[in-house]
Amino acid sequence: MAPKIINRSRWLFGVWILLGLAANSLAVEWQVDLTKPRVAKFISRAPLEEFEGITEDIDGYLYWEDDSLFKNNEFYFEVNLNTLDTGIGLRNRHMRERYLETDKWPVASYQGKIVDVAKRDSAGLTVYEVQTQGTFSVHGVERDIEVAGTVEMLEAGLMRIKAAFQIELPDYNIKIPQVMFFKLNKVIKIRVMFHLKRVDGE
Amino acid sequence: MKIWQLAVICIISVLVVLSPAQERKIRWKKKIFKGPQAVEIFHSTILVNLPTTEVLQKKNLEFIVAHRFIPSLGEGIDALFGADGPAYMQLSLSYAPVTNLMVALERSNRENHYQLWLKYKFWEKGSGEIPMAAALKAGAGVAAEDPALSGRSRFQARNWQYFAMVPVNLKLMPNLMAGVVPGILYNSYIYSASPQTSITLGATVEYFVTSSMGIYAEVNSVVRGYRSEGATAFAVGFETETGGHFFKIFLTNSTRINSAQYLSGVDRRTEAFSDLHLGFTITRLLRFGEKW
Repeated sequence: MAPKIINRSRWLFGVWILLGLAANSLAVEWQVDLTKPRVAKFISRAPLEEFEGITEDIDGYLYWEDDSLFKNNEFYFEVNLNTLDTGIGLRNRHMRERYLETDKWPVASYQGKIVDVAKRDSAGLTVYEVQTQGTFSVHGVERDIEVAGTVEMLEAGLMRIKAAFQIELPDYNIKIPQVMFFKLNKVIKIRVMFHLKRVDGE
Repeated sequence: MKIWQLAVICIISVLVVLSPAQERKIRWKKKIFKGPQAVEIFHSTILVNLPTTEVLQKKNLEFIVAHRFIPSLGEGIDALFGADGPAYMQLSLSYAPVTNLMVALERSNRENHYQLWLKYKFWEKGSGEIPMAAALKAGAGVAAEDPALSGRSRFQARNWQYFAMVPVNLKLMPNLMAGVVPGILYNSYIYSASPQTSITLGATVEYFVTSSMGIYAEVNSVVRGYRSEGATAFAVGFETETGGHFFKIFLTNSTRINSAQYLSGVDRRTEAFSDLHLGFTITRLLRFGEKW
């Protein structure tokens, strides 16, 4: 009797392990590598003054479920607007307090999916040109946008993301400053670069 | 293993693989951002003579021109209340090589005085009802007067002065800032028989009428040790700020600008409003090095 129970337990344990392995082998998660260079730039080009606000406070993840790259994927990335630096203290304060109102909405985020992928080789690197669709959120307003970017496979478990897009401030209920020394274009260009490291299996 | 057991395992495997809606187990956790990195209380790096806890942003360069007109207000309109000059002036160049640290080289035409100092913001507390910060400003100065005037070589030991101040600033209300500035000065009077030390205590307050305009006052008193004829220096004034550049105009009883000279007191006692002097400070921020 005892050997039968042991055999049955082994069998059930085997099924459980198989289920776990099957599920884990299909899920791939990448997170922003906080030890590698990363930057988000918010660029305003106005007739009288051009400036860039910059921060390296970027975080988030990319996740997919299949060995086939990016299949059933989703991602979420966010930028801490409280650390946005324009190089001038007063301008930083104005941007945070008057326009972005970061006490209420401290982050800008983009959540969505990669909907199209094209592979190419560039200087020995495997590069994927990707098209994404998702929801960009800033100043408490969410809007659906599309963003194109590149994914560079640098080494096993490490990739670099670059993307650029632009938003219009009125779309997000951000009033445009009119003070003489601080003019903003209503169109803000946003550029991001960061690294992702694979974390599944850790 | 029996055949039916093998079949069950295969079926489960296939179902798992083909299942379109697995429960996602995303490990990433949202971080709690702590808010602004820098606690900004006073907007500029100095009020009139006393330092604030504000430091330049990394890789920023600041150029300052400051004047204290030697004739007092009592000179009247014919001398534009002293603004016709002459004046003691200071040129200052400071730079922040790393976050929270700035270094400055300054020269005043009063005794051909040079000074080099560092300011490091070592503590700040942005959360809670009263944001506050503390910094250390410390440096050395030398009165490098012409030997023909002073009767001694420019850089002899007695010409050197050393000072330290610890500004502690508080944001009492959104528009009201205050601070205390204890300080110490060694070799307060370079012509005394032996080196003297002054212990000082200063106070600063500024009210921002708008986000870019403020009225302020500061007072600094020698509480122990060597003091000049007048032990307490004070100033009241107005400042306006455009994009981080300041213009300050004020009335003060002290014509000393460099910290190593200012901390020991004022030249003469202030007995009437007409004894005060006009002064102004202009600061200009410059970006230096790599743009981003």
